[in-house]
Order: sequence, then structure tokens, then C-alpha cells
Amino acid sequence: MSDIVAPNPVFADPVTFEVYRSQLVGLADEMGLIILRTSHSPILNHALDFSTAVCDASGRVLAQGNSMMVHIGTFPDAMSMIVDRWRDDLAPGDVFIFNDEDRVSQHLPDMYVAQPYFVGRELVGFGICCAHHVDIGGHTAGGMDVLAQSIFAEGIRIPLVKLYRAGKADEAVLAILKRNVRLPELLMGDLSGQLAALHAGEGGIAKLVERYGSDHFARLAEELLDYTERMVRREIAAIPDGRYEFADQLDDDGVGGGPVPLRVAITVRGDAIEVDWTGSGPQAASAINCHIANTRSISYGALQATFREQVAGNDGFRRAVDVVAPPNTIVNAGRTAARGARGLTIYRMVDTMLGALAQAMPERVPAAADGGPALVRFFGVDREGEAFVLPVGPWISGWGARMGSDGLDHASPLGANFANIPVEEVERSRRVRFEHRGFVPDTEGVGCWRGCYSVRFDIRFLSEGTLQLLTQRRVVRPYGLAGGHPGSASSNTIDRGSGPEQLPISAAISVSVGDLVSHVHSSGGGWGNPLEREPEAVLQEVLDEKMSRTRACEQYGVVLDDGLDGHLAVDRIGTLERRSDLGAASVCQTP
Amino acid sequence: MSAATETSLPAGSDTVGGVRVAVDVGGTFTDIVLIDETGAVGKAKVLSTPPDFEQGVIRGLRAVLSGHGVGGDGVQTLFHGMTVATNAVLEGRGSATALVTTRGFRDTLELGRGRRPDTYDMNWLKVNVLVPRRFRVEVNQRITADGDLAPPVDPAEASEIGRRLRDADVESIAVCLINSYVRPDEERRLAELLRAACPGVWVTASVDLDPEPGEYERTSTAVVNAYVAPIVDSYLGRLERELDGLGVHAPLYVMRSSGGLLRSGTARAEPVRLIESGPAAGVVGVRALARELGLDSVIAFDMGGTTAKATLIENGEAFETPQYEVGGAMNSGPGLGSGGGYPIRIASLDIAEIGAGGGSIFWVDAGGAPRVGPESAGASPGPACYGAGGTRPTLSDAKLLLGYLNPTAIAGGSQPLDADLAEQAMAPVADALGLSVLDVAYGAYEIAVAGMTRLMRAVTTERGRDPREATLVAFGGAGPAYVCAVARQLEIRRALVPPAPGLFSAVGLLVAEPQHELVRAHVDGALTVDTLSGLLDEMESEIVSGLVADGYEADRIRCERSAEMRYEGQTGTLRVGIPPGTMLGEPGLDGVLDRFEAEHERTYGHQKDRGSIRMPAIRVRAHVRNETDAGLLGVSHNLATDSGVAGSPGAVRDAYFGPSFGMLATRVLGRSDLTALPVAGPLIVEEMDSTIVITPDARASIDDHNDLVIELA
Repeated sequence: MSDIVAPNPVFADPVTFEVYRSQLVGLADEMGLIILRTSHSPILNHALDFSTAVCDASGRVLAQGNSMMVHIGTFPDAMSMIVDRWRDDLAPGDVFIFNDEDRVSQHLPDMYVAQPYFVGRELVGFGICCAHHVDIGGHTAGGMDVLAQSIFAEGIRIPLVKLYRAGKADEAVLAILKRNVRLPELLMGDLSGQLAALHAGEGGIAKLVERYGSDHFARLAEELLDYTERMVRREIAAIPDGRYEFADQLDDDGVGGGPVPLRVAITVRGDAIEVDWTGSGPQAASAINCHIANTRSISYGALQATFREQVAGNDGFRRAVDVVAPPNTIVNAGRTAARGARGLTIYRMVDTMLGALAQAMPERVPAAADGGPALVRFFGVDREGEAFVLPVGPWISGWGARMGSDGLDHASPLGANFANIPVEEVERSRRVRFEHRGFVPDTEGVGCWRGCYSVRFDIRFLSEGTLQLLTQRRVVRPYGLAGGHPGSASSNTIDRGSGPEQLPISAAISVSVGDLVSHVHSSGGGWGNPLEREPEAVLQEVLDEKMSRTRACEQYGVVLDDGLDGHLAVDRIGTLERRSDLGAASVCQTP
Repeated sequence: MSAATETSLPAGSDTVGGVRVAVDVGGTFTDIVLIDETGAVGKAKVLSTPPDFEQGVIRGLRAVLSGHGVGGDGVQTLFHGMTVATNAVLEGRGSATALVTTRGFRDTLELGRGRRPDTYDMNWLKVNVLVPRRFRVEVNQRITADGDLAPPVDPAEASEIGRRLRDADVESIAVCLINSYVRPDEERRLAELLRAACPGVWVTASVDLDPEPGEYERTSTAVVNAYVAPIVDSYLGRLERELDGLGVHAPLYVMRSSGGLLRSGTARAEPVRLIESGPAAGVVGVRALARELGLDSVIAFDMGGTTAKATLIENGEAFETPQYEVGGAMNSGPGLGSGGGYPIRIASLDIAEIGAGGGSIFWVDAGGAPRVGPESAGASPGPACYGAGGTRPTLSDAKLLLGYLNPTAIAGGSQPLDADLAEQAMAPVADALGLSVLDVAYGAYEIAVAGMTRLMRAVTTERGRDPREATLVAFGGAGPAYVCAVARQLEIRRALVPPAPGLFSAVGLLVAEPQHELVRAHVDGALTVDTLSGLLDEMESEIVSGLVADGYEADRIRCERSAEMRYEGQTGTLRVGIPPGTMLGEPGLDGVLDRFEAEHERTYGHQKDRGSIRMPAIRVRAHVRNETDAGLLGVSHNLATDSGVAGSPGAVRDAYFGPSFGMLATRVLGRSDLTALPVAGPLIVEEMDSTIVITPDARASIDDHNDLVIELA
């Protein structure tokens, strides 16, 4: 961290500002903690698939919790919609809910809940949170079926309505909601966690307004938005001007069409940036479509991740960033397009964004990660006629390499920030048993710095039902950078007792007791020339049985020697010769 | 290498004669406090001597014993808080460790959970895995979720693995099988087979430490234990030999993370319980203070050179967390920033922590806003005013410029401070912010206070507790300089600084109690009065008979029963006490459910369906009453009367208290200059190891126990 000193003092009272900022960020995190601690589904309390923010009286996001990138960037649009539509009809104790609006939506399981905050009769701010619910109705459980061809198949669509009016629940809304989902108790339990978070936010905002007075609070809010805008512009100004284009693709659309191209052109002009998704594929016939709100969210998030300093995310972020996405495309689908499996697309959008940004900032941007998680749900009806939905994934491998370090093994992708669901937690359902979860040797994206290894997941079914397994990166592998090789491809197989058979890239399949499904997740791309990799690092991975000696020799030009005492060691001369044969030009540069 | 000192003197025979000594070893200083049977005290502060911490301990002990005219054989009990286990993890200097696990799950430890501490940080790196893959070995066995063995462990295979690991010079083995929480016996059987196959190698079974589901956290807990066990064993062995040389044959007790003492023998077997040993001692001191003064709600606020810590104590009990992370940025409980370190699922005092201390660096970010930390000048180069080459301004520099610190009397005068250097370091930041050096120094102080305020909120408002009802107790070298400002921000009206705040953790050790506990996982078990009551009775008699066999007197043992409770599907639990007798009869169970519902309502603002209440674990904890009859107040009172640096009478220093009060001529006192009659601030109270700043809006007095009491209007 170096002191980057602004050219001129920008705050009338910088200390008060910093104290205020830190309190607001703390509050947004506090709201997230409440969801984490009180929720019931593993999607929330293990996988942390939720987000929180606090806003000013005009609905502008002031501070966001440390949570899901794909949600966070949609809060500004969600709030401006709420304020536009309801500004004249807000009362203390009102709570809004929606999961599907023309201006903002994720996929239907992601439920937005927001609350206006009052001190006395004065509107002083808002709280908002978004959380992924286990089931939302629709033709398959979980609301993420890639085969859905219209949003009407995916579950209940809730437009922006009041769930509470002046502290009183709207029983009609609740009744409709409960009647339309498979697990109403679970939905209500997780919703109550969201409400508790908003309640905590209200107390926190009231305290701050009390401390500063509402006028001063509002002035500080203005300063906070300007501050973020200023930081964003400084970061953008440090990126060389130019137009950076990149294209990647999804293997298929899940219903036999494809591949689906994603294309971005990023134009940097001074301290402003345009992210143009023109050229991306048309709206798909399956559920992999993205709402424009998702596209914005990913555009902001991927950009923010390349910044040198931590930037406090808020409404000010968007002022310097323009996002263009033509209508009726995969990145800006129409209002009835299915979107349940948009989780497959957003991570490819991250890959596409980073591929473009890497051209501008090669030293700061990693090669492609594993391509996003495999989304895995097991559902059906048990002997008693009760519906069950078992979240089994997300399954991941990790990150691509970047200059100076290997790709993170088994770390959540940039587009989200979840934890896995423990094997023992999934097995408590008695419906599946994991037989393997671990690295697959010789699968890393080869490079001077290597990408993450593939991870293989084998599950044996103990009851019958439908397995929904949404994957990608079987055809187009995660790209490497600066001479690094691509990561390895994914694969899905099932053994029904007569040997493994291939499964489609994305599928919902009936499984019987005893079936074994195996998924090998794609791995991350490498960075830089593999012949420049530190030989000692190659040796360590051979010793750890992550890499074969053959691969060490063939891909990295590292020759190992058994040594007199049986301890494997690098054969320096052999390696030099081997690398020379393979065409090494220089030695690995450590930045 | 058995625990020789433990066997040479039976526990419980140490009640008469001799002195009781507490030794708190921190990263920088080793603090020693002694009390004799008359209540007279002695103390010493010496530099720590990593990695051979026992050298500093012995040096300090020698000084304090000779100062008190006692020989080594005059020591009747020794209490110890230490950071050896934590340091081994943080510095990656543990033992050569192996992991034995279920076939198909060799990589559980390295995969982790996948969460990253910060959503947008692409430069983050995972902590190094403590057991490299080459030492992670699979056994062909499986326990199903129902507890079936399909197949069971094959003894021949286990022995073969043990031999192989021994031949590879492994010093310590962790064992964690998938679903072993359902069949602990199977995992223990494997551990036994390994012990038999490789004598002399430590073997840790995960279920002996953590009986709950969640394979990664349980594995990690076992691995951390295995990783530090030989290190802690060797340290305690060296210490006991040195003590022997000094003629000290007293039983040695070590502070555990949950705030109780362990006999050194047990501590050596389960060192993962010692990770928060050092910080826990201070909290135990504050807990004793709260009990003795009858304070319902207290926030313990501990701040030293690099970190600030807070813990809430309610009705005489400190909050605990079932899990936390060591390594990564900071030791901490589970939260949104998790994923950066090594998780440990061991009950520990819930100590929230941030990287803010005297060395925290003050800087201006790219958006023009002032920030404090997380970067620290550390011990080297240290704050600019130390004159050791530091050029970036720190909180210590700010405090010096504000007039809070005495340029010549810090650390008993051993560390002169240079205000010119502090001002030079602060000037660029002042220019960037358009403020005077003085205002910018005050700004650094205020921003640090905001960070500490967030820390206090994490242990109060985030648990549905109102900080305004609490008394703030500040200790550690740096805490007392911030106590008034932090109390003001939280609208706390009463704060307290105990005597010798820099030695307070050692004082806490003197009044800590030996503590043992049994935890049984009760996953999905039916909630009936009979099963629960029977289980708890069984656990209690097991733990008590164990303690009596160890030589403790039965009438000094007190047991507490509690349950970890939650609603179906939740991961976080709330602890609910089960007072004796409540389990007898039907209303008993309802009473426990009522208490859980009330606690959930209080913490999170709502209740749910009673039918979905679950009790994943039950716990019996036995305390052995401490024999420091003077209590904490007695010890610390005497520390104060014999205490150090009084201000020269009539000394006055200019000190700055922000725009609203400005620069004020401020009286500089020693604690002994204050009385029961409250004196209005501003005041600066100087002690050997700490400086207490009383702001102009506060009043200070001394209570019967020599505590400095601060009242805010």
C-alpha cells in the first residue's frame, strides 16, 4: 500500500467523512451477518448467496455488504425503481418485495426485499437485500432448469409490491407466495432472516441520522458518492486509453443450440469507460439469458476487481461507467425470456470482461478461471409424497493464474463469493453419498504460473429423483494468457451399473438408487511460458502427486532425478537441455 | 517426557503457604505478577525471547521472586498464558504433520470451503496448507450418514499406513474421517491403530476435539492441533525443566481459549485449545472484575501495539464463539470476511479483533479520504517518533503530537519520543487533507476511535445488546488512551481502568479457574426430557470423577450445563444455560425452549416455529474454584498501591481535544493523586505501562479497589 495523495484537499471535514463511511459499511455488513446467522437453507448459511446494502432517502446506494458481486450492482436500479414508483406512498414499517421486474431481476429464486427508513415522519434512507431461495415454484424445483423456455415455467413472478404496510403483513401476498412454492416453511424462514437484516439496518441508520442530523447526513451521503466516483475515475484514468475487445463463448444453450458467443468491447477514454456487449449472442431459447441488471452488475464488478485500491462500492461507481447491451440478446433478454440458469452465463461474462481488461493491464488480470460453478440440485418426491430439494453444489475448481502467482485452487469465482456445502451436510439428507471430492492430477492450466487444478466430484444416489447438473467449459476451455495454456475441459458421466456413459453438458436426468454420477470440473488457465516456470515448483507438485513426471518433462521441460538417496530432485542440466530443446527463450521473471 | 511437575505435587494440596505466580507471554513483553498468602504482590515486565520464550519467563520469574525474597520452592502454583501455539501457526513453524482420512477425501483440507475474505480482491492468496498432499493419506473405509461402516477400517491397512508415515519422519498425525461425528468410536479405533504402529508420534483424532458435522472445519481443527502439538509439548517441557532448575516444583496451569485453565499435561495433548490463550487471560480478568463489582454488562477493551480487541461480558459470563479462524489477516469468529485463515472449531471466548494499535499507519487514499491501518509500522521501524527510521505517521505519533504521551516517560522512560519526527511524518498527510498537523493528528485519533466503535458494535448491537448499558473496561498498553472517546461514541456513561492496565492479563491469570468440559453432539436427536437429563447426568459424573481422580477436592467443583440450540437448518447456534434441576419434570424442557426463544428474539428480533428447534450439542463444564481468595480486586488493588510513576506534583502539559475543546493546559497525575472525589477532565494519568486520557467532558475518581472510574455526562 503506498500513499497516493490526492492533489487537493477534497473534504471540508475529512475526518467526519471517514468516520461516517466506516459506520455505513459496518452497518451493511452487520445486515449480512444477520442473514448468515438466522437463515435456514444451506444456500444462504453455507453458500452465502445473498447481499445487503444501505441507501439514502432518494434510494441511492451508500454502502454495500461484503457479498455477491452479481447482486450488488443491481441495487441502484432496484432502488431507483422503488423510489420512482412509490415515493409518494411510503410509511414507516413498509416492506417491499419482488423477484421479477422489467427494470431489475436476477433469476426468480433471488428475492429482493427493501424497506424505507424513517426517523419520526421523515424518510431518511432505505435498506435492501437480495437472497437466493431454495425453491420458487415452477416446473422443476429450484427454479434453475436450463430447459425452461419461458419465464412462466420457472416459478412465481413477484412484481414490486408491499409485503408489509406500516408494519402489518399483507396476508394475501404471503398466501399467494406460500401456495406457489414447494417448501413454504423454508421460504418463510429465510424471508424472516431478510426482514431481520432490514430491521437492524433501520436501527443503525436512525442512530446515524440522530448523530449527524438529517441535513448533515444527506450532505455526507453526497460526499460519499462523489468520493467513490472520484476513486473510480482515478483508477480508470490509470488504464491506458484504447479500445479492448474480447470474445469467449458458452459451449451450448442447454437445448441443442450453440455455441453462444459473448463479446465485449471496452473503451477507455480518460477517466470514463464504456463496456459494450454488442455482438453477444441472441436471446437464447433456454434459461441461460441474463437480465440487463445482471450485465451491468458484472460489468461494474469485474472492472472494480482490477482496481489498485479498494473502492467503496455505491451509486457513485456508475457515474464513470457506461454499459451498453442491445435488447433481445443473451445479455439483455426480453421480459418473458427464461433466466433460471443465467448462472452459467454470468461467469462467462466475467471471463470476457477480464479477457478484454487483461490487454490493458496484463500485469494485474488473471487468466480465465474454471468458468463458473457447476450448479447441482437433486429433487423429487419422497415415499410420503413430500417434495424434496437438495442443493448439492456449487462445485468449483478455482482461478486462473496471474503474473506472479498460481491460480487459486478451489476458491469461489469472482462473480460470486460463496462457500461450498459440506459433504456431511449434504449426506445428512440420506439421499446421496459422496465417493470422491478432490484434485485431478495433470489438469492444471500450464504456464510459468499455473492455473488451478480440476476437481472431481463423484456422488452415489441413495434415493431416486431428478438430478439437475448444469455445467460448461467442455468444448471451449478456459483461456490462458501471455503464453500460458488453457485449462482443461469438464466432463459429466453416469454409471448406472454397466460402466460410465457420457451425460450432456447441462441436463436434468432421472437417477435410480445406486447410480454414480461423476463430474470433473474444468480448470483455470495458465499465465506465461511454462518453460519459464521455477523447476522447484514443478518438483513440489510432482512430490505432492498432483503432477506426473511425464507432464513435468513434456509441458514444463523439467527433468527430475531420483537421486542416490531416493529423494526426487531437479536435474538442473537435464532441465536446461530439455528446455532448450523445447525452445525456451528466457528465464522466468519474478516481478 | 511426562508432566513431571504435575505428578510431584497433587493438585489441591497447594492451598497453604507460598506464592502464586502468573506469567503472561506476549509477542513483545512477558508480564509476571505474584501474590503471597498475605496478599502482598510483586510484578515484572521483561522482553519476550522468541522462539525460546521460556528464557524470558525464567528471567522475569527470577527477578520477581528475588524481589519478593522467595525461593523457587516457595512457588505454590504457576499460571501461564502464552502465544506459542498461535505463533507456530502464524509463522508456519509447526511440526511435520500427516493427515489420515477417508478414501476419496484426501484433498478436503486443501480445498477448504471456497469463500474468499473479500469479494473484489484478485490479489488475495490462500494460506499455505498445513499438511502438504504427499502427507495426506487415504484409508479404504467409510462411515455412512446412518453410522454404518461400509467398510470398517482394516487394522492391517492402518498399521501399514502408520509404519509408512513413521518412516517418512512424520512427527504428528491428524485423523479425520467423513461422518466420524456419527461414529466417533471408529475414528478413535483408527487413531489407536496408528498410535500402536508408530509409537512416539502424536496422533490426534478429530472427534476428540470437535464432535460436530462439517468435515472441513473438523479436519482443520484436528490438523492445527497435530501441527502445534510437538511444538507446544517441547516448549512446556523446556519450561518445566527450567522451572525445575529454579527450584519451582509447583503445578503449572495454562490458560485456554475459552477462559479456563488446563493442567499443563492436558494442554500438551490438546494445544489447539490454547490458540487464544493470551487474549483470553485479559477477558478472564475483566470477567472477575464484573463479578466482584456486580456489573451486569461489561465490554472488555484490550488494545496493545498492533491490535484492538473487544468481548462482551453479561451477568458475569463472557460470550463465546464455537468457531474462529487463526491466521489470514486476523484471528476472528465466523463472519462475512471468513475464509482467510485456518478455521478451528473449539469453543473460545468471543474476542472480536481489528488491526488497530499504536503502530497503525495513517494515510490518505486515492479518493482523498484519511484512513488508519490496516498497515502497521510494527516493532520495526515502529512509529516515526521512536526515531528508529520510521517515516510514516502512526497512531502513536498522533498521540504524542496531541500531548497525550509523555515524551520522556513511556515504558518507564526507556523509550524517549521525538515530537519533531512525528510532526515531519504527519506533515504530508496534513497538506493532503488541508488541515493543520494538530487537527490531522486528532483526525487520526478519531478515525481509530471509529474503528474501535465498530468493534464494540460487533459484540453488542450485532447480538441484540445495547452498548449504552455496559461499563467499558479498558486495559492493555494503548486502550486507556482511547477509553473516554470510545465510551463517548457508544454513549456509554461509565468506564473503568484497572490498576496496572498493561499487566492486567497477568492479573486475570491469577484469578482464573481450572476448567474441564465435555461436549456431546446430539444431532437430530429427539428432544425428550429423559434422554437429555440422563445424558447430562452421565456427563457430569464422568467429568467430576475425572477431576477428583486428578486430585481436585469435590467441594471446589461446580458444574454448568448448557445446550447449543438453533432452528432446523440454521448453522449458527445460541448457547442456552440449563440450570440444575430444570430437566426434572416436563416444565423443564419447556423452560429450556423458552429460554432459547427469548435469546433468539433478543439477538435477532424474531422467533420461529417451536417444533423446528434443534439441539445439536450439549455441554457440561466443570470449574474448580480458584484459590486466590483475595479475588481480582484484592490483587489489583495491591498492585496499584505499590505502583509506579506518579506525575510530578503540579505538572501540566498542553493537550489537544479536538475543535470543540481546543488546546487545553492539562494536569498530569499519577493514579495515587486521585481520590474518591471525582475530578473533571481534562487530565492525563500516567502509569509505568500505560497513559490514561480523561477528556474534558469526563470526570475521574478512584474506587475502593484502586480502579480508575470514569464518568461521562
